[in-house]
Amino acid sequence: MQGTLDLLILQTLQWGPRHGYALSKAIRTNSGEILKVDTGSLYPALHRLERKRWIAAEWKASEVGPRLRVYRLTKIGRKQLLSERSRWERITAAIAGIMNPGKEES
Amino acid sequence: MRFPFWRRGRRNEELSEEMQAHLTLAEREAMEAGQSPKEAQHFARKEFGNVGVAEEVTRDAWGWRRIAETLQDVRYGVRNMLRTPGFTAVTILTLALGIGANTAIFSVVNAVLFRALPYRDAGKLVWATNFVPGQAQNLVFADEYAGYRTQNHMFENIAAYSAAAEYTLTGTGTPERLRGAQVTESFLNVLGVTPQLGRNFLPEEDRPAGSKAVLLSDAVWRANFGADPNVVGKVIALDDTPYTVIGVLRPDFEFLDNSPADVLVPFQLSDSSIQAVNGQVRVMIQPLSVVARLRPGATIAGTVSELDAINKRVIEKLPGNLKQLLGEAHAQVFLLHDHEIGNVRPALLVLLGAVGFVLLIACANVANLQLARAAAREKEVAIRGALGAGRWRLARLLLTESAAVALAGGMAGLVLAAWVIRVIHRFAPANIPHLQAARLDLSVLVFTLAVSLLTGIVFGLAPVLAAFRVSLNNTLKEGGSQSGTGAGTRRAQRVLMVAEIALSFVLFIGAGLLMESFHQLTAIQPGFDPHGVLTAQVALPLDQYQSIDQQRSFFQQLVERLQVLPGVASAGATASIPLRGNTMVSTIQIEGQAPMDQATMNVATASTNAVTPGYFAALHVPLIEGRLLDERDGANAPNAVVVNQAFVRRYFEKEDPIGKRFTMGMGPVTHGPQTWTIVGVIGDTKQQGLASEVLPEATASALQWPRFMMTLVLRTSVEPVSLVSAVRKQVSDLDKNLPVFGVQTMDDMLSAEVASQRFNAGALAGFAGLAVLLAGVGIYGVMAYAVSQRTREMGVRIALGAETGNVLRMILGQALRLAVIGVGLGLAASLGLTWLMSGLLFGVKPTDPETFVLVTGALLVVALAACWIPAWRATRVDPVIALRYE
Repeated sequence: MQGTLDLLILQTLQWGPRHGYALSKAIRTNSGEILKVDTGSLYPALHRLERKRWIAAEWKASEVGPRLRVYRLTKIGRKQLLSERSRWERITAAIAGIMNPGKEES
Repeated sequence: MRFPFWRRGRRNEELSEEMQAHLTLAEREAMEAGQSPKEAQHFARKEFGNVGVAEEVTRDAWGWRRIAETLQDVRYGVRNMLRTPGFTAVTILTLALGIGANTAIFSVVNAVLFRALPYRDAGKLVWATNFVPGQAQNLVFADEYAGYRTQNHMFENIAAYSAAAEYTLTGTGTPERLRGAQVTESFLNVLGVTPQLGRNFLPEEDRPAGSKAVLLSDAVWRANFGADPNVVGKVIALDDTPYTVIGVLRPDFEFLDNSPADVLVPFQLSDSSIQAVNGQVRVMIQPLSVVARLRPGATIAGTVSELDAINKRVIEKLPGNLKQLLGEAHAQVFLLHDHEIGNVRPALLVLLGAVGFVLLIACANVANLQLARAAAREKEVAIRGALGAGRWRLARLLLTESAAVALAGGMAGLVLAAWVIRVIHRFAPANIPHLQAARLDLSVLVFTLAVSLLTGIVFGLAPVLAAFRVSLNNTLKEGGSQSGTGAGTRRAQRVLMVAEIALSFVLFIGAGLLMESFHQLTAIQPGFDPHGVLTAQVALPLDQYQSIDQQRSFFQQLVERLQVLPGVASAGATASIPLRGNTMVSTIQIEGQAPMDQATMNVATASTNAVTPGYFAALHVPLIEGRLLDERDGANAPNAVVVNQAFVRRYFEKEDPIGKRFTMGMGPVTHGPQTWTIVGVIGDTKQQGLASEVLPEATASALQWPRFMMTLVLRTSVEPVSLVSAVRKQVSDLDKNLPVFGVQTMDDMLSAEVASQRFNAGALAGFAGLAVLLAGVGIYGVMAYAVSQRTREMGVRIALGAETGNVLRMILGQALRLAVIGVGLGLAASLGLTWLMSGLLFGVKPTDPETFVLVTGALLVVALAACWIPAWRATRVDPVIALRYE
């Protein structure tokens, strides 16, 4: 779903700045290996969010060798995350309602 | 952080670095999980997927894709252009011709037609006149103007002005001839302009016999007064009358009627043309022009009917003969802009249309070339399609290429246009107003850019449409280099060729009609012999030469002196010189004829002229019957006139005119009509200009009807202009303050008369020639290509025994069919379009059959000639070589 990946990225960055690889790993681990983010989607999304100024990037040296491009949530991004999340919750609730129609009535 | 577009190189490197880091981290983790380095690397790569694709789609997220691709396309297009320099040169040259011609003509149209007049809110300004049918001319006089001024409800403000006339400035060195106009004090206010120094006229300066004030133009102020900042308040002498300088006009001030004015003086009009002078009633009609500013909401139609109503009231009060003469006058009101440029608009619009056609032909040519090349590039297009380029991506690539070519053509066109504008400045007739303002300014550059891009899209569409039809499978399967042109492309090329012929045909017809007009105009006999004749004007200041005796004796003496100058065959003076059209028209009453023609309700009228006896010999005006005026017709002799043939045709159809008598409303003494006896008939001379009909004319001797302003006419046995200083000397010997002006040979006057026809015909002929050249080259190109595509077929035909004549006939026959279709379409288009230029034609109908036949023949010849070489080449095909090609 369009925007889902954006939400996952913003939500994950809320716990602290991360570089691309760590981000993809975090999403995968936190979803219990269910959500696997394709790099061909991850990086365009990161760069798009950066262009919208929801996240910011910075080059950081790493102890493992190459320097890493680390992304963090911006103020705008934090606000955006809140609204995206409430939107997401409404949608999931709505879908849940459709999936289990009996529950609401009883 | 956002990166600007121009730093994308660095950004690309960073993207690669980011991807690489991702891979490194994944690898390291896999190794930590116990895999061998090789396995780990393999695993990381597999999990990552295609690095190139990931980078590509990430770059898309930057939002630069459009720009980057366009740049890439441009680079590609330029590279492509450079790969085929001959082809590119032909394309750019063709476009440069089309765009250059358009830019040049647009710069003229922009300067002349689209330019706002340099007055405040110029759209509200109108120019008003009365058309007098009996006189076939426009006339507004003081009584009518006074009526307009006091009784109108349509004008915010109204002003009158005289045509610019000659004044002599004395006291600042040698006498200087200046052009000056009389204007009412409201004149500058109506136009909404103010002087740069000093002030406008005051109402009291504009009353009859008011004080003499003058406004100087910026040019005169600089040239004759050294831009003296203290010039205001100085007294200068104009025609020996002292005038006080009250101000200096701005440099951008323009007088009306496209005529420059060096000085403006107050009109000092009285409200009535009928005045009592020394106990005699005199009617002094001075023609004037009216310019006014419309009130908000006032309409032209409303203004016309109001002015007509005022005219009616004014004319009611006039004496009988004037009432009769002016009774049918009706008001005409034009927007000032239309009045100023109206007469050149049709010619310029026709030229603009013509260059538009030239551009279309250039487009068709280039489209043809591009089509031919598109066929050669079919494979490239197919491969690009196979590699995943979308249709629109391909279209953009091809269109960007065409646009790049078109811009290059536009740039070359600008260079060409700059040159054409110089030529136009040199050769254009003087009657095109503001032409000097034509130059390559910003709006012209914008026009050129727009035209270039539009051109690029128009001719670029052909290969794009061809590319859309390319079928990947077929093209790639064909394999060999002999894929040839598709039927669609061939059809498109034929359509373009037909269009080129049709467009050229229309242009050719236009040029042909204008050239025929020019020919007709120059073939007109002016009624006199213009070669070797010098003319010059002398005007006597009326305050010094008040009596008609003084005027008579001055010109009598002057002509006597001129006659004995070495190099002068005969000399005379005339009140009205042919071609200038400044004759006075008078009512006449022929003895024994009704005062009014009952059939047409027209009053009898005639142009009047007064000449010294030497005039007829000097201009070689032929005597038809009776005798010419001579010394016998002196001041005290009976009044004698010679009339022209038009006069005889109109009034003495079945009678002998010699000895007949008539009275004229005008004459040497204005208070009563005088009787004149016809002593001779002279040939018709074109007084009003070559193109005008000759009016009935009565010519009196200047001894019997002296004038204060006359044109000297000298037939010379030497080069006419070599006598100018001798003439000036004779005049200044008689009166040293008297300037000679308007010096011109009759030949020059005649060629100025046909200048605009010559320019129109020349310009359109030039564009038509260009069009035919382009079309010829285009047809040649298409045919040559078509023949080269059919080399094998020709080889087979020749191998099977076709003779040279057969092959030639076949190819020419096909070309001829296309040419005939093109000519047919052009014929239809011409019949629909040439009436638009009927106002520019003279002596030839817009559907002149001769021109149409000639042009049809000429174009068919050009088309066949352009096909001949390729066709001939086809006959030389060696069947062995042609067949081996496969």
